[in-house]
Order: sequence, then structure tokens, then C-alpha cells
Amino acid sequence: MVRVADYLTPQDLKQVANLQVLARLVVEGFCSGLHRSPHKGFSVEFKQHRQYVPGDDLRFVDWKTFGKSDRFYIREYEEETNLRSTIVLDASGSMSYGAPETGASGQADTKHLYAVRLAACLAYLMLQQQDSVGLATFDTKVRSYIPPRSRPRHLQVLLNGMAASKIGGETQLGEVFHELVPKIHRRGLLIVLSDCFGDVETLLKGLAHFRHASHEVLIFQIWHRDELDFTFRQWTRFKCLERAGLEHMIDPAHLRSAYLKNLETYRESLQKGCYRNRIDLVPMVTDQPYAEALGKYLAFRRRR
Amino acid sequence: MTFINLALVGGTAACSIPLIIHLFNRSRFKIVQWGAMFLLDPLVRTNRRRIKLEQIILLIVRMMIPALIALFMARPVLTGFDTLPGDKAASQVVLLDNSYSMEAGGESASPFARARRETGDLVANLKNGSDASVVLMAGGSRALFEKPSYDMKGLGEKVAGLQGGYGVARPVESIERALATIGGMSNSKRDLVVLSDFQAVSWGAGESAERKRLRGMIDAMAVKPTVTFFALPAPDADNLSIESLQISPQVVGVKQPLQVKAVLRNHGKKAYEALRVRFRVDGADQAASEVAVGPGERAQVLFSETIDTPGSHTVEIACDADALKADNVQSAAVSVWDRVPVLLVSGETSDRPLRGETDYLEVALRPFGSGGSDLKDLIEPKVVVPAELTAKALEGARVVVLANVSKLEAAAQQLVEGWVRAGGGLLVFPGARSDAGWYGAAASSGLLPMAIGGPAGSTEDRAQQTAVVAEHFAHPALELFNIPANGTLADGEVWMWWRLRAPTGAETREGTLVLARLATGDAFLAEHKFGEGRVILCATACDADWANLPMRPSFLPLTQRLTTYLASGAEPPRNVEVGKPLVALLPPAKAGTLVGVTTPSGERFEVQAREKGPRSTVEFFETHRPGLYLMSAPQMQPIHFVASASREESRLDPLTDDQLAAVAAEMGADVVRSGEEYRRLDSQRRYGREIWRAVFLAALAMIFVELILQHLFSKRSL
Repeated sequence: MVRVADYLTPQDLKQVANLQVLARLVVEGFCSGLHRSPHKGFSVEFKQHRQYVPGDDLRFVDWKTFGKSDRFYIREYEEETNLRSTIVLDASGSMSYGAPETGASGQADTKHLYAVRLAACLAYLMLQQQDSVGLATFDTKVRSYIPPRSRPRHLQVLLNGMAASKIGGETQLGEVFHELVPKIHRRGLLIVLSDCFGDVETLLKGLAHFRHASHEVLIFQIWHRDELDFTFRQWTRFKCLERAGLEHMIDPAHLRSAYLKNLETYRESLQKGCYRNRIDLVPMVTDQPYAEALGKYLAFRRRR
Repeated sequence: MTFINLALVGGTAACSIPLIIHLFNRSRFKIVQWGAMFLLDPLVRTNRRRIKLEQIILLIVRMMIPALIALFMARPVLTGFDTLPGDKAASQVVLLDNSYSMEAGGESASPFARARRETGDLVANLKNGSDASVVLMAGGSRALFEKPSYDMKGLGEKVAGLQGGYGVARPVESIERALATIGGMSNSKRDLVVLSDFQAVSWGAGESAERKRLRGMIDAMAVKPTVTFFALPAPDADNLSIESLQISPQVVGVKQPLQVKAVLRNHGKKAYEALRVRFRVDGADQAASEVAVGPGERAQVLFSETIDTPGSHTVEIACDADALKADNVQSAAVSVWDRVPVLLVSGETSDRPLRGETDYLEVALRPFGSGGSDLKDLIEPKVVVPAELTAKALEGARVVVLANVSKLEAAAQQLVEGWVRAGGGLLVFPGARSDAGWYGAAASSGLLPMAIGGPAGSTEDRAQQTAVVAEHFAHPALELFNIPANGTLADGEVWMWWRLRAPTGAETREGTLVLARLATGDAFLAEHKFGEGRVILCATACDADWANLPMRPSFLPLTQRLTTYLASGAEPPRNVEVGKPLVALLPPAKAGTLVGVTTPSGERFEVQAREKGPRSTVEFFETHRPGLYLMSAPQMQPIHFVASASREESRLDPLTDDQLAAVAAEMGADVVRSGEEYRRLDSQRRYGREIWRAVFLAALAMIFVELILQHLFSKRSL
């Protein structure tokens, strides 16, 4: 049985748990002081009493307790949400870059592994927050789909699903997204963990399809440091991870600036397309801590 | 294109290093499984050819860097380009013909004066950093300075002070010398300029093989010098020279007639109807005569004179024929002796006339005295018997003659040996009374040149008689008989003679010279040196018992010559060729004294007399300039020497233009006739420019270009 700890180190877990508490405190505390809670009316389950602080809404003062103890307490309820999120995990060939056998520099984790861990974190966080989380994995097409649930035990299902995902062949993200849209019936949040490599136009069309179905989309674009910096020095034979037989023998130093320029153009057009479709694009590099991604997510949640 | 360090040219192979590095890098490639191929693939596809081109350019630039560095270290010299004006230091050797023929035409109009000016100009026109050397072609091919000079001003001043009038130019020898100098000079532009009148005598076809050898030497040099012939022909070919001067007799006594014969030769086309020829003794005019010399003819003049004081004198014959003064004068040094005492040791005396052993000899040595003439004899013979041969008798004698002496007592022999060793002359005529054993021992001890073997021939049987072979005599005492007019030795009959043989224990002795032979093949006269003196042994007697030679006319000159030769034999010659040392023998007491030598150009040198054997000697070597040298010291009679050069250059005919062009072609030389022409040739000439600076800068530039290109190619947007 796959456990959270297979993907998350104790540090990660601690960080996530802390973050969860912290984030909730931050978000809820932040919101409760300033605005009316957006979640009122959905609260059904009592959670705890809390001492009144000036500024708290008098509506939530527990007058019965006041009557008994002559002190002001605020009744707090366990929050319930209707957020249905689906983690879309990319298992295409290009995601396997980063392992030592691919010739990558730096740490030995592949982009895919990073994405899986990040997905695990997010799932854990969201389930902790009582959100329902689903999972879709794909390579050339959608390989598995787990519908969103909010039960804590659902985490195990999600983790199993992630672990079962295998690196596949060439991806056309746009087509895969088109394929995925009808599977998600209720509108919700789509968290895409992918490197988004491929034709920007078709990708954007697929994403627009999601938007059209009223889904919120958050893309964590997974990069390896090599792909961003292209710091190869010696003569290199580049073999394509997705299409067999495509390879180039070049002096990388010679092409670096051109590559970087190409990369810049690609990222810019992707960024613009996402902005146009009101999609959040968060680039992540595999040497970045996962917590940063969670921070981005929470920021995203707060904005909505 | 040539290289100074040819070996380093191989270093250009280092250009393969970048290529090897490139190939090595390519072969050591890394494999990357790449995800973001959609970013890379179009780049490679669209730029593949351009990248390849850029890499090739970069590779070529990188390959050029080590190649250029190696090339610059090899110091290339580019040939075939004109030099930029004023940028080139040069190494120049000027060969200046200072032979006397260059003085034709008088003081200021002579080719030598022009050559001196042109040399000054050549040297003055050299650029900064140039070095130059001036080599003189006559008088031993000397360089003006030991080492090439960078001080052009000093060199110019030295050139301006040069004097011509030296002996015969030696083109081959001096060019060889100049090439040796030029090979060690510092600049890559090297010029050899030959300033000469290019006389046919010195530059004729006879030297062709030698010149080709020189051409080979030039071609073999690492940096080839350019060779320029700067022709300065004599103004006209008319010249008259005093070709030779002959003095007779060799040894002159006081108040004895001295005959001086000069041969004049007219090399030009001008006829001299009445050429005045003067005769001078010790610089004072004594006589004059007029001769007619037609074009191409020779003429002789003869002067006879007596000299009243003993010692060293000079005689000179001069004429005022033409502007080339150097060969209008010929002089010689003459030693005038008071008298020559000769001790005749007779083995057999007699009261009857001409029956004594030495009677014929005495008459022959003292012809005037014997004939009752007023003239004074040079030789003073004195007859003694062997018992009277004492130290006192030997004192003052210059020659001792042993005539038919059977043997010398040990004491007398020792005395004679010591005396000969100190420079005396010994003449030995063995006869019937001679003790062959003693003669053999004397030969073994070194006194006599040869031993006497046994008597040959017979006084009765005339059939066995022989005679002296008439041949060409190289010996100065017998040279006279090479001229038939002076008589011949061959007309005398020799009835009996001693067979001369090498002394026991030695096959032939080193230094023994057979002067004349008999028809039988036996030696007639043998000579060798013993200590400082000389000994001559004759095979037969000097009276009429064994031969009729004493009754022949040739007997008188023969004995006179032999005696004077022996008397003067110890004296080194006073008339020498240029370049040969002047040697004077002084009494032993003079060793260590300083002797002054005045040269023809008026310079005065001091030479120390050194002890050498029983005498002290003075030697002087700087005799390159022909003319009169005077050796003098306090309490010493001055000694004159005359150094004379061959008169072959008096024939002034220069090479014709065609001949000169042919000679120049042999040497790979260019011919110019004026300084202007030379300067034009020099600036247009296809000589090399040393381009290491340019190559070095190119290498530096390549390094920068490589950096820039690399930067450009990797930064450039595609």
C-alpha cells in the first residue's frame, strides 16, 4: 500500500502540516477580521470555542456560555466547502527528464517525481481543508481518472493513483485536455502539473475548453533547471525523450543564447495565452521546495 | 620567403593542435535525453549549415594562432617586396679596392678617391640600427674594424682617412672574408658592395671557378646577402710601370760598382719618345737617362753606381710617366759591406804558382787585387794552414773555406762548429788528402751536410770524367747560370770526385739541399743550415788536380757567388714581398731594446728585439703597404727594408661591359656605376623584409578575433 510517506519526507509532511495550519490560520484569521466570512451558512459542525476579541462579529458570540460564565466566547464551526478540485498529472515522456541516466545535472529527481510529490502535497493539503480532490493522469491520452472526494481516506486512493502513473510517450496536451473535459462533470478547480511542452496554440485551445466548461485552472509548469539555463558545455548528443530517433549532435555553448531566446518566446506566449484565458500559470523548478507551490496555491485560493 | 630559424618552421605543425582538440571534444561527447526538444529542434534544423560554417571559421582561426606563433618565432623574411621607405636597418659590408691601380688618374680624380667618397655615402645612408664593415681588398684583406660597427660616423671618418696604393687586390680572398663577416651580422637585410676598378687582371676568367665557389657559399647562407658590383673604372688605360728592379751583385762592397737594372713597361697606347728615368740613392738623385717606350713595349734602363759608405742604403728608379704614381717608382734596399774577410784553410800549400790547394780560389775571390787593378775587391781572402785555425783567426772572418783539408783536430773542429752555429759560412772542398772517416764523423755530428763515400773517377783515365749537369738552378747562388750569357758550369771537366752520401745512420737528412749534380747522378754541391750559419760541401777539389773547373770562366762567378751567399746567408732578406715580415738580426746584447719602424705611410711603430738563438731578432709584421720601411734605434745603424708588390695590376684594362656582366652573373651580383644608381637599385631591389612583427601582430589579432568570434557566434540571435 502506498503511503504518504513514500512521497513525502517527514520534513515535507511537517512543512505541509505546518503550512496547512498556518495557511488556514492566516487565511481564515485574515478573512474573519476584515470581511464577512465567505463561508457562513455552510458551517454545520461545531468545532471549538474561542475567546472574543474586539472586532469579532457579535452574531457569533455564544450567549449561553456568557450566561453561564459571564465571559464572551465565540462559537466556531468546522468549515465545509464545495470546492471540487482535480489534479491533472502529466506523465508524458518529457517529464522523465532529470534522472541521472537522462544526463541532467543537479539533483537526481525527475520532473515527473517532483510533480507527483507536489500533487501529493496538494492533495494532502486540500483534503485537510475538507476540499474534495480528484486525480487525472495522462500521457498520450488520459490514463486514469479518479473523481473528487473529500473524505480523508481518499488521500490513499489518490496516492495509489499517482504511484501507478507511468511515463509514457509523446504528449499533445491540448488533445488530452479536450478528452478530459467531458469526464469532469461539475465545475471546479483543475490543478495541472505539467511541463506544458508542445504547441502553445493547441495547449491554449485545450485550456480554453476547460474555461469554457467553467473550470478554474491553475497550472504548475514543472521545469528542470537545465531546461531554463541550458548550461551544457561540451559536445552533446541530444536525444528526444518523446520521439525516438530524433537526435542532434551539437556544441551547446554555440546554441545557448538562441535556445534561451526561443525559450523566452515560448514562455511569453504561454504566459500571455494563460492570462488571456484567466488561467494562473505558476512555473516551478524541480530544485524549488514544494512549499513554495503550496504558497502559490493558497494565494490562488485566497484570491477566488 | 626565407626563414632565419628554419627549424622552427616545423612548429607550424602546431596548427593541428586545435583540430585535434576539436576532434577529441567531438569524440568525447555527452548524451542527454532531452525533453524540451521542441525548443531545440527548430534551431538546429534551421541553423545547421550556419553553425557548421561558424565552427569551421572558428577552427581555422584557432588553427592559425599556433601556426602564426611558430611562424613568428621562425623569423620569416619576405622576399619579393619593395621595402617601405626608411624603415629598414641593414647589415652592409663594403669591399673597398685599395690596390694601387685604383690611384690611376691622380690624387682627386682617381677611382680610389671616388670609392672612398662613395663608401662614406653608403655608410652614411644606412638607417638607424644598421651595422657595417669595410673590408680592404689589397694588403691582406683586412677589415677596417675588428667587428662590424654601429657607429657610422666613426666608420665614415675612418674611411675618409684611408690611403690607397696597396698591392694587388685579391677579390676572391676578400669576398670570402666579407662573407664570413656578413654571416655574423645582425640585420636580415644584408648587402655586400664591391667597389673596385674591375681590372681584367684581377677579375679575369681564371678566377671563374673560385667565383662559382663563392656563389655556392652565398647560396648556402641562411640569409643571403645581395651582392653589388660598384664599378669605378680607371679614367684611361694608359699606364707605364717600372716592372722590376734588379741589383747585381747581391753583396756590394764599398766603392764597388753596383748595377741597377730596371724594366719599364708601357701598358697603354701612348708612346713615350724620351721618358726621363731617374736613379736615386738614399733619396738623392744620382743619375738620369732617357728611354723611348712604344705602346705595349718594354724598355730597360741600367744604372751603375758606387756607394762610399758601408751599411744599409736604398736605391730607387723613378719616372714621371703618368698620373698613377704608385708604379712609376721601384726601389730596393741594398746592404753595402766594407769587406768580406774569408779564411782559406789550405790542406796543401806550395811555393810554386797555382800549385797550392787554394791558389785558384784566392785569385777567383780577389780578381782585382790579383790582376793589379785599382778597383777594390769585396772579398779579402787570407790563407792559413789547419794548424793556424784558431779563435783569433776566425774572429772577423765571414766565410771559412776548407780546401783539401784531411781532417780538423778536435779543438779546431769544436771551434769551427761554434763559429758556424753563430752565423758563419763554411765552404768545404774535399780533395785527395781528405780523410773520409773524419768527414763522415763531421757529417754525422751535423756540421757537414753529407758524408764523402769514396773517390770516383780517375785522373789518368779521362774516359771516366764527368761534368756538372746544366739545369735550371733554383738556388740564389747559382741563379746566375740560368742565363746563358753568364757562362755555364757544364763546360768544365770533373775527373775525380767524392761520392757524396747521406751520413751513416740516416737515409737523408732533413734540410739538406743538393744544389747541383754531376752527370753521373752524384751530388756536386750540397748545402744545409747549421745553427744560424750555412755549410756548402762540394764533391770535388778547388784546384786543377781533380777537375779543370778552376780554369773555366764560370769558376770566378761560382766561387764569388758561393762565398757571398755564405757570407750573407745568415742575413734575412731586406727586399720582401708585401705582407711578409721584416726580420733584422742584431747582436745578442741588443735583446730587449725597443726598435722603431717607420712605415711608408709615415706611421711609426716600436718593436722589441727578442733573443733568439745566438742573436737577437726584430720582427715586424705590418708590411701590407708597399714601400720603404726604416728600422732604427739609438746606437744602431738604420736598416732599410723594401716591401714590394707585384706589378700585375699596372695593366689597367678594365673588364668590358660584357665581361663584367658575365662575372656579375657568376656571383649573382648586380652592377652599378654610380651612387645614385645604387640607391635606386637598393630601394627597388627584391630583398626581404623581416616580417616577424607583422606575423606576431597577426597572431595577437587572431587571438582577439577568436575571442570576438566565439562571443559573437554564441551570443548572436538566430
